[in-house]
Amino acid sequence: MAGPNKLGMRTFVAPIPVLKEEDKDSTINHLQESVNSNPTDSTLQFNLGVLLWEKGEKREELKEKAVEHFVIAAKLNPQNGDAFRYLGHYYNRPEPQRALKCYQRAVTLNPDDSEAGDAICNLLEEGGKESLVLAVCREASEKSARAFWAFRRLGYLLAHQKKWSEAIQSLQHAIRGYPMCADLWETLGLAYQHMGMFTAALKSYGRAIDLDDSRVFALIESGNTSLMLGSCRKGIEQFQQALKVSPHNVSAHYGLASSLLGMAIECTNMGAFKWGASLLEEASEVAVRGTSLASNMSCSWKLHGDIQLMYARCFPWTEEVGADELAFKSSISTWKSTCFLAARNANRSYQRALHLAPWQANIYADIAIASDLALSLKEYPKEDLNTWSVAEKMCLGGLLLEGYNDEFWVALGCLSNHTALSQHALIRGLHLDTSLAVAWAYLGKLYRREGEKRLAQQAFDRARSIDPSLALPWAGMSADADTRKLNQNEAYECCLRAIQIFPLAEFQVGLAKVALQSSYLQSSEVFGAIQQALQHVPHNPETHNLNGLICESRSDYLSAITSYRLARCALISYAVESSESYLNEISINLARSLCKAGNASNAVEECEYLRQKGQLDSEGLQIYALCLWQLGKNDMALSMTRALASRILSMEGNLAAASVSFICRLLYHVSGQESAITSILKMPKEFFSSSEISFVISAIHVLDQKNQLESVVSSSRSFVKSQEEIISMHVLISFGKLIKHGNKDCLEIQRGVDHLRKALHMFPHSSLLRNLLSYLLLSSKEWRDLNLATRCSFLDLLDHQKDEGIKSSYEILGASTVACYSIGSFDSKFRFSTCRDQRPFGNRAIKTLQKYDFPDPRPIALLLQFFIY
Amino acid sequence: MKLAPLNTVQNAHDDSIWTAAWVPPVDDSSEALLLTGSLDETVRLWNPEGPEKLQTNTGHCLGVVSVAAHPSGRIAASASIDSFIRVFDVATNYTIATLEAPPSEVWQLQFNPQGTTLAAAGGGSASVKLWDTAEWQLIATLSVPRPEGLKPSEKSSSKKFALSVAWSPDGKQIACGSMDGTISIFDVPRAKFLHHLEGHCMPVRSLVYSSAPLDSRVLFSASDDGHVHVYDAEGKTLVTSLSGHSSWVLSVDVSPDGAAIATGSSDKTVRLWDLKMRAATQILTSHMDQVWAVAFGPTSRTDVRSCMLASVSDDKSVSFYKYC
Repeated sequence: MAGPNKLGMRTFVAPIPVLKEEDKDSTINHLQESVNSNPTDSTLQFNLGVLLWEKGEKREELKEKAVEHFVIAAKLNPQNGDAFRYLGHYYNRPEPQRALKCYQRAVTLNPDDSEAGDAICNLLEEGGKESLVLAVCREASEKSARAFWAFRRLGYLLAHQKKWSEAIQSLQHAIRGYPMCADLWETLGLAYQHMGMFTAALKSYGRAIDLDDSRVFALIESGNTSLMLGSCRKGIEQFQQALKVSPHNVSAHYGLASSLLGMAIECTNMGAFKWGASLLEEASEVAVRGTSLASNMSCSWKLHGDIQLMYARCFPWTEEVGADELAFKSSISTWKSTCFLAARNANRSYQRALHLAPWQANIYADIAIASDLALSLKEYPKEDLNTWSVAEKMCLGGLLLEGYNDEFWVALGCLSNHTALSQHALIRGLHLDTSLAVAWAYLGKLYRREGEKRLAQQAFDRARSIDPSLALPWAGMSADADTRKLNQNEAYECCLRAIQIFPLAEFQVGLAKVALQSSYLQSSEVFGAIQQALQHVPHNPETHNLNGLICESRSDYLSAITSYRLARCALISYAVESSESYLNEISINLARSLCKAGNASNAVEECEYLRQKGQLDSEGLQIYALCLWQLGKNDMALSMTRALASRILSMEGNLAAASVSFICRLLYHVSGQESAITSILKMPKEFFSSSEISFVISAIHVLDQKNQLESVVSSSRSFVKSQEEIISMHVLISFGKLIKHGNKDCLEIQRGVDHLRKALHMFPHSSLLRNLLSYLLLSSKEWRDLNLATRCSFLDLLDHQKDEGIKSSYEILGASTVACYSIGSFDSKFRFSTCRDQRPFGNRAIKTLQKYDFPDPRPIALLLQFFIY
Repeated sequence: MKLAPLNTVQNAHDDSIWTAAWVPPVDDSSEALLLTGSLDETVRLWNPEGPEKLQTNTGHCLGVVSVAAHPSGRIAASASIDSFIRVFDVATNYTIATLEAPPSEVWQLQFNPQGTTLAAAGGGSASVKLWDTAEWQLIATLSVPRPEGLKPSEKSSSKKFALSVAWSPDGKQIACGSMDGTISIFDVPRAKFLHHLEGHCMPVRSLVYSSAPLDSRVLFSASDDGHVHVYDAEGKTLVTSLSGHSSWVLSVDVSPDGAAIATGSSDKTVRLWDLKMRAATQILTSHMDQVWAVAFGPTSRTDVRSCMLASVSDDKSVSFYKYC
């Protein structure tokens, strides 16, 4: 075993303390005397030599004198390696061979002697004898585990020879000796990186950077490794730091631009288009700076092309507040031209890349994609007389060079306008790789476009089973919901999955369309989707119309109105074929929103305009009549109602029911109860065959003391079927009992309570019934019922948006607690508590009310006041 | 022997200018004109007097990679990245013929000195394609032999990607430069591959045969390895190597007297080399970006010892110099 013990005769040198100049001189004189008296003591000779050597740093004659002593010391004790090292130093310049021998002797005697070891290696390297250097280092490292200089040099050499795994061992060993050497850490990082151990590489580079933060190589390589591991943010930091150290470094520019691109792609896939676009602007600047540093690097231009292409795809259109038609149009054309310019820049950059390296097949495909995008964004696409489009031709270019690349076939399949060629290309791609999910997905899309629903379904299913993280098959599934016999909810789920995987505007519009027919219209997913879709297809009237419908469903009528206006504008300006019926549909939507927003006069204008065109359908008539009534133009409202009534017979079930109930209500409001009842009695019986109408006439019936509608109501009630409707009907009936059996000033509460009790027996879970009951009990002002009231009522969280007319459960709960408490504390007649758990319950009631984020603070305040007093 | 800068047209094109060729004078009364092709998809015609833009030819869908003029000076051809060649009348810009090749298979164009054939470096097809100028039919495809033991499907077949082409003055030989740095010499009348010239280790982007009457076997080549080589094309030997550019040499042309060559490079310079001294005698740094093409014009009618040189660059400018 090599080690200090075996080479134990190393302690020749007595520790010579650092001495001052005059002390040195005296020590030298003293030693000189000792040597003269004892010339065979090698230690004395050596020590004298060292002192003379140090003193003679600039004076050759002293050095020569020192060497004499070293030679004597070495002769007297041939095991003194240090003497040989000094001799090596002396001969280093004039006689390298002699020096080499001295150093070799020194290292043989003491393999840990790093000074001599490095000197040998430097001498050998100067002579170009790399293999000898390797041998010397190997030998020393085998002899002694502490020969760190040998391990270090070995590590560097092995790394240079790309023997990474051996290099790692040597470097690790060397680092034990030189833990503060940044070069070692950096080389270790490189070796790890080449062995594919990226996390370890990052750590090593990180150590090197800790030791010396100006290590450009370590910074850039750790940036590259971070990118490879998919963490763009870290990469950005590291490349930025590298650029601070070395502002003209091409690799750092390239790395920074590509990590910014990576982060922008992440943002865009999340749907944060504006963020992505601003990152891409920054990335593009960095990439341009990179290309100006080295304009003949094909990859830099390709990166710039990638950035610009991504920018063209993700740059969002932004709606200006209060935009009129002109501003809308100009904002769309600005947006379009920004995208077009980016696509053209991408195309140009790819062409530069190709011009520099025309043998790179992938750039042909890039040009194809960029020119296809640029063409689609052009304001006035010019007719191309060539049989092949540029996109198709450039795809072929890639294929000619690399026909075995399935991705190029898929690209051709997507970019070609000819169905047959497209299908052929996709199938060729699948020949090369049967499990190419993308090709299956696009094949499905192609078949679907051609109306081959069964084939489309098969292709989509296959794509989905190969790669469930692909958006297109999910969207395809949702679009084919009818043939696949999926219900609305499943279709919605599929489409939602598609946009969560990839936020494409077409999918988002599709989601909104599916949501229209399902119960998800108000969900924030749909709202988010349509808002994102607006950023990318603002020229599509459908997007604005859907946005309007969604805003309307969320009761944001003002936004809905703006959206419908924009939809109409987009339809007139950008639709390929202006569709009259679609325009009318949007106008009616607009009129409805205006009406809901309380802007009756504008709504009337819209309807009047439609009426003049003869395009006012039954829904439009209803809105028109309603708005006219709101404006106080009762005569016109009635005439519209008559027009509506004349159409009822030709309407289908639901619409007819809606129209009839609308007419009844309007008549009631315009002409009063009596005339409404008369009209209702005149109507044919088959009009009343729906629950909706049953409610309207029941409500009128409730108010009618003469019971003229008894027969109509009882016959129509047979259409009230669902539990919810039955409960509501019970509520109406109990109202009827309250009114009909009471007198002018006082309601007959007890009759209502009785009816509600019976109803509650049937539907014990109905919060509506319970709340009404407790309300009635409270209103009855009978003290013994108060306690009952607090127990009857229960809080239903989901309940608090509905039923504006009836008191909310919170209010009832609060009021009854207050009532209980006030009776208990102020009425001295009662010596015992009338309400059980009077105080504790009171506290609990407050807590309950607070917990549910009470929408109306008054009862709480009231309660608190009570407790304070 | 020197170059005197005459004029520079800034923003001569809307984007990088990639190629340039002189159109010889049609008759005694006319002057030589310069054709330039650019990434902006146009070809423009310039009168060096002024200098003045005479014409802008559109019709290409992608960047123009090469322009070539017929020795008669009446017709010219331009090729774009999508391998679409447009042959047109120089004076009227009337389209005479459109030649289509598979994409990636047309790069540098060159008419033979006799004007009977148009040659194109065939890129990915690793060949030189020849069209006759009477009927505009493809008459021959001279293929660079594949390295032995390579199957056609193997990826390294693209190593022989043909980038540049040059005619010998007698029109009997063609040299073709490839991506791997080899130059192939063909016998045109027999449509036969003769031999390779080795020496470059990176793509050869420009080739030209000497124009001096007795030096017709001398071939100059410019390569991405930063060197210009002078070969004896018949003797298969590298005569000399000229070094000095700090980056790729993108273009080389020889002066009409055969005594000098000019080169354009990615290092943004134009250099004039004295062949006797085997050294660069002049370095012109007027361009702000890489110089894609240099071209000597025909000898001046007034002074037989002088001629024009044009250089075009990524910085969108065209520069004219007087060589004498």
